[in-house]
Amino acid sequence: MDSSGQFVRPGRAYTACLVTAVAASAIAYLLSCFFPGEPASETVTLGMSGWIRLTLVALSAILGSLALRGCAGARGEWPVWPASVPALIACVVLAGAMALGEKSLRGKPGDEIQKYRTDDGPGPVIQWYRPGQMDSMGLLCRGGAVCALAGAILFLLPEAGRRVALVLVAGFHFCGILTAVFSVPPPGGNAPWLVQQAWVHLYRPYLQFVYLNNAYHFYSPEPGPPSFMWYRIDYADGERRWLRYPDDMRSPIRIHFQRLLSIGESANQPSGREADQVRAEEVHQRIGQMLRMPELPRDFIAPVGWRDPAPNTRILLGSYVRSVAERFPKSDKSGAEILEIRLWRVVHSIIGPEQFSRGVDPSGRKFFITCYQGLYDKSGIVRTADPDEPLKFWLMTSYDRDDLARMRERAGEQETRMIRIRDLRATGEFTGARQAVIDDEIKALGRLRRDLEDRLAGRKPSEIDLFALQAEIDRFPPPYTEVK
Amino acid sequence: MSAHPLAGPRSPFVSIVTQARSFLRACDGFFFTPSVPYTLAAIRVMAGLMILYIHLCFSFWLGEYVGPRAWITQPVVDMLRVETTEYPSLPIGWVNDPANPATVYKGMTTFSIFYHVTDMPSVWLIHAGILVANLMLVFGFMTRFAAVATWIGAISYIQRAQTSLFGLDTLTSIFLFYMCLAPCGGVWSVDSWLDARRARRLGLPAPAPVASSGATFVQRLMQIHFAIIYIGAGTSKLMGNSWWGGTAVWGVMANVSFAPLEFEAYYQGLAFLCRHRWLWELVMSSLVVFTVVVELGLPFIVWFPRARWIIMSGSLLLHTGIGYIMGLTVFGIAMVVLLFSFVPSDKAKLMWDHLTGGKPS
Repeated sequence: MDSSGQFVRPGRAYTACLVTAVAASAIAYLLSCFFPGEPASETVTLGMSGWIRLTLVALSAILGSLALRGCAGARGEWPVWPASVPALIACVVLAGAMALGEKSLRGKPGDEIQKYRTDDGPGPVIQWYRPGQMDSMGLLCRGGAVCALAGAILFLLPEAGRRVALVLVAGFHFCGILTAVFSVPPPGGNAPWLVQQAWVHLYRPYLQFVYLNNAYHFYSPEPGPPSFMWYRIDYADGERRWLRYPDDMRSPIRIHFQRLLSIGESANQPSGREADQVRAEEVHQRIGQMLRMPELPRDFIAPVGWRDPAPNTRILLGSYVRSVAERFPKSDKSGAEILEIRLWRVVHSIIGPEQFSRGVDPSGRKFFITCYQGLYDKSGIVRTADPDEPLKFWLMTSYDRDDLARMRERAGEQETRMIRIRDLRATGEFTGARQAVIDDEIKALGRLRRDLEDRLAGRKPSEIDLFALQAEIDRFPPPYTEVK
Repeated sequence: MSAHPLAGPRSPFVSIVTQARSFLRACDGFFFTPSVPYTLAAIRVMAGLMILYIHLCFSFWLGEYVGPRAWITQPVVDMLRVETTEYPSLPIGWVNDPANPATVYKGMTTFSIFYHVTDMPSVWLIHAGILVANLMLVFGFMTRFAAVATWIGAISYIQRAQTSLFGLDTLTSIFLFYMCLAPCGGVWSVDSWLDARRARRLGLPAPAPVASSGATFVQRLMQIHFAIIYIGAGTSKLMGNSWWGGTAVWGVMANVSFAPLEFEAYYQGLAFLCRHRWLWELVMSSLVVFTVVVELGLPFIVWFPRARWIIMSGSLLLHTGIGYIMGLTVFGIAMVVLLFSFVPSDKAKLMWDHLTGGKPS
């Protein structure tokens, strides 16, 4: 073979490689027909038949590629017609072998329907068929077959045509990359129509396959704060284990820390829903219960916001819990089973420059915003019998001495105003609200004011930390291991 | 070439054809002027080492990412790749037509050997195989095979541990995608050394490195991809309030999870800035402007040889800063290695000669 256009008869090694490649794929296909093997599951990995088929298809791909390399030339330019005939044949045979490989690996979809519930109660039930035994490896073979066919077309073309084809393919490729870049909608808007249609209908399969679907929006539109995942495992013997991910202490390698940070970020995919009135009322009542102030006035101690995770994110949360449960299945003390697991997403918000100039600690409690993600069993299923259910997905902050002092002043002012309204009502000058409501409000404000005064005077804890109250701890952040 | 002074006026058609021809010739020159793959070989070694490090890091927590106790459990990863739906949020027509709803695509076209191999001994076996392929890529032994095998391995980790990914994995997939296409084992590789040895045994002179249009083509693809990354990063920043307000860099510099606030000098430096508002605003705004100018400017400026080194230096500075301030050292290195694709092949050879003390050829 040479690149000057002279046809050179391929050697024996070339023929042997191609024949063996086809034979290997054919054997793999026959094996898949007669010994299909069990579908892969959580407990069953590839059986003997699966491994043999996988090895045969890999062998077929390697031998086909070797034959192609031998006649296409490892160095320099590709041969031109008619010297490219052996390479063209190798491409076509390789494509056929890969198509056969796809059939032998794909397998039939599992009969079993997997079910996954995000709630115990009337929550959504998601079900799906288990995919074929090695379906994704089959997909890889299909990709290989497409590449081999594309190679065959290139070998058919003259040099100029080949260059034009390559530039056109590159154009298609980069249009796809641009589609991925611009398919992310701007805040409060839509992605361009053309981009959306091209992404969904044309480019998605290709870019997902090669994992070039990133939008490259690094630290934009805003560089946001990182999210952590905190787990509290309660064992049947009363032992309690706290786990924080990521944690500098557990990640000596920076990449590990970054990967765990990405897991926290994956839990921060909101559904886009807003909290309704019932939910807001429930969380208010629960906060009142935790503070032992059933008639807690509104807008004093309230969540920062509500962030309901998207359905897929809820399933991922269950998966994370289950993964943690499988790593720490027993208590250290007596080997007791897991009773329940609580999960929080914790946002470490970024300190402002003014606070920094005052020497405020950027790792201080104030900068951690907690978001309760629910109570789970050890298989990652949400439990509905959870007293903290109303707190779920609410972003909570803590209140330090300064906050409490400001709150006390506000409560005092509001109490005075309400007393004045009550007096006006008594003289008939005001009829806007019922007497009983006004009295209740005055009572609630007075109680809150006194509670805050007690805290500021040191008769009670001088800060209000809803996370600590809910998690039954007196220290923040929680320790790395067990709390008795 | 200027027209003859006595020649009559040229028809517009001839002029357009001439222009088109010269454009096509320029395109051909841009993409296919043969070059020796020195730059690609250098990228192969640098990116290969970096990816080897990434894959070695998987070893310490392999079970967390791809094993039976992985963060994404087997049923959930099956659900994600089978049930995930995609459909455009805007309708095909002007309004949503209930009788003709938008097409919904179900499932993901992803592959990973770790979707199917779920027992730890086999996972370790495959992991070892990927590391070996990765080493072969670094040394350039059976380079094309090694590149494809490493790419399959890297994508397998990526698609199995979908929620543990960050920018570095994106760059890994970019490098390996182009390495599969590139003749990056043509020089500075075991393959080329074996070729030379074979020639010596046959009594022939050692084969000279071959210039190929394929090398230029793939190098251009990498350059264009890098430019698109910058376009994506730059334009998306324009949508952010903090980037417009000139305060975005503070969100990075004071982020406890990333920034080296544990270093006294760094902490005190930030505190000093914060105590002087004018200075703080000046520094933060300058850094924001620098970032946006480099990210939006590079895709256009880098193609002009005279200005190339200036904008590349800016980019180098940007990624060094990201590497230090955000603790994203490997990511910063990866971006710099990708930036290296803008170094012409002959300049890469000169650098090598300079580094090794050899005579420039």
